[in-house]
Amino acid sequence: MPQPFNPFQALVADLNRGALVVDSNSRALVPTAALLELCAAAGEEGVRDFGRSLGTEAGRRVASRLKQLDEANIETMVEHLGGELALMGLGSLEVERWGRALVLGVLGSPFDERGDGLLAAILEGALQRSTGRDVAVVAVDRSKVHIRFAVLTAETAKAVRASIASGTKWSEALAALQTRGEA
Amino acid sequence: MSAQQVARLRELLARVQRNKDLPRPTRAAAPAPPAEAEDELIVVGEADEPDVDLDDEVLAAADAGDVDDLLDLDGNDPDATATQPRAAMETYTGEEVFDDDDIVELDEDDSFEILEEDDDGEDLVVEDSDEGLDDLDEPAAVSQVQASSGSSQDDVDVEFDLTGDDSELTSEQRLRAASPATSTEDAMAELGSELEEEPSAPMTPPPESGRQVSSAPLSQPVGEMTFDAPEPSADVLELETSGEVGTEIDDLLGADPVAPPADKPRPPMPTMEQLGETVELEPATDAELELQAQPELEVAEPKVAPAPAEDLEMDLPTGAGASAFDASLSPPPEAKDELAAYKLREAGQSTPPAAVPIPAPTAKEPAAPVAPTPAATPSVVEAVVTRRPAVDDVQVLKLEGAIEPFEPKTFVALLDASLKL
Repeated sequence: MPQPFNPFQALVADLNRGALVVDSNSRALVPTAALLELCAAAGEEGVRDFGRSLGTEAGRRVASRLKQLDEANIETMVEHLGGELALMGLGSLEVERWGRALVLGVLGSPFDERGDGLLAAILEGALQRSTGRDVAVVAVDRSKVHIRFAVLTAETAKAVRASIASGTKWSEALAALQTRGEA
Repeated sequence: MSAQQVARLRELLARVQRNKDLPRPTRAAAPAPPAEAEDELIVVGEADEPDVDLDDEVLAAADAGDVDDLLDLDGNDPDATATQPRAAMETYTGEEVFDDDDIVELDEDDSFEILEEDDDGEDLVVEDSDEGLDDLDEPAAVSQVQASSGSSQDDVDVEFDLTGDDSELTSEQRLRAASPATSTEDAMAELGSELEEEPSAPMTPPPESGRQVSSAPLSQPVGEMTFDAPEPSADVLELETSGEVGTEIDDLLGADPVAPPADKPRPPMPTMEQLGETVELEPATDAELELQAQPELEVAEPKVAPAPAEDLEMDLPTGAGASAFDASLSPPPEAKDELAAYKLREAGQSTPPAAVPIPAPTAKEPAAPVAPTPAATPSVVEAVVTRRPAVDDVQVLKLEGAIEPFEPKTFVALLDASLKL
């Protein structure tokens, strides 16, 4: 039985030293607007690399707590991975299942649409580190407070991105993936 | 009042009646009563001759029909008649035809007194007078004078019926006028009977009153037909035998069918016109009615020529006993197997019945039982049924092209499925 996510004193603010500590690792508080400015200047690949590095750290902590992660159910994974993202201040995580497609939803993201790439890279890094699978996360739907990310392969993610760019609804694009997977 | 006085009154009446048709001067209106009119009203015992003739007074009263006003004067109050002047009396049409000035009072000297007030001031007395009557030259409209006298002069009542029109009189009044009372007692009796008969019966009976006695004159001839009425009274019988009955039949035949028939009594029997020619039947005799017995019908049955019978043939039984059998008979030995198989089928067993050969037709002499042979043709063919075993609860339907339900138990399984898309 996996242990539940316990955020007790997960973030330590050492005011004497002027440091924020998470699991013995120092953190820095950065304004989101400045971060977005930086991401915009770094380019897509720089943002993706930056985000992957942030997600890999979160995935490692999840994997450290979930010894038998392959046997962990969806609720457990959402609990732990979502807890790590919450500690990073990136919003609340949820999991949606559209047929066979895995869709991760983030509520209350601090970023606007300019930070969707960064957030998708964080999720990719966390999943790769925790599960050991090479995944591609693509943002398919966005509202003011809710962002949906589909977890696919790199090729499938490219096709879905192109389909949505052509005007297809993200739900229809995912439904189309179901028949193709059956075939 | 003596008979002589009555006779004189009659004579006076006749004279008045004779003179009433004579021409007389008409009056437009009576003048106002003069001052000396009061003196003329109080004339009892006075010797002066009246200035106004009696005919005018009587005629005026008769035209006015208001004699009662004169008679109803209160006798107890002499001033009422003596001092109160009456300007004029009007007829029903409003015409003034009577004047107080014309009131005439005759004294005893004239031996004829009219409208006299007695000593008590209660009654009026009419007395005849030859001299006074002779002075009456003008015609009067008096049609009837009924005088009545009691035991004394004070009790005498005078009633004037001064109706000028004879046509308004009823037949009874005419009869009474034709035969005037011979005495005061008769007059009193007639007066009493009149008062009693005042609420007279209507001339025409109401329709709902049923059959009524017709008031036909008795002088008409007796009709040819009479009707049987249940216990008619003497009056009714007398009226029914009058000629009015015959006229009623004619009225009924010619009556309007729309009009209500309640006005005339309906005849209890059909009329001769309704019956037409009637054929009389001979009366029934005492002879007994004899009916001829119906002969029995012989049904010709088809006669079939008997076929030449052979030794082994037997005629089938016909009639009611053809399909009956004795229940106590034991089944033939050839049918035992078939009967056992039938019972087994009813019990639910599906064992195939044994082949039973067709029993040979029975002959007169029972044949010996024949053992069944395999080559023999079975008489009953039974199907061998092999039922399919029950199918377990298995999902048989499979939809082609439908998405299989995916229920991943782990997150990794869901991730792997999503990566396979």
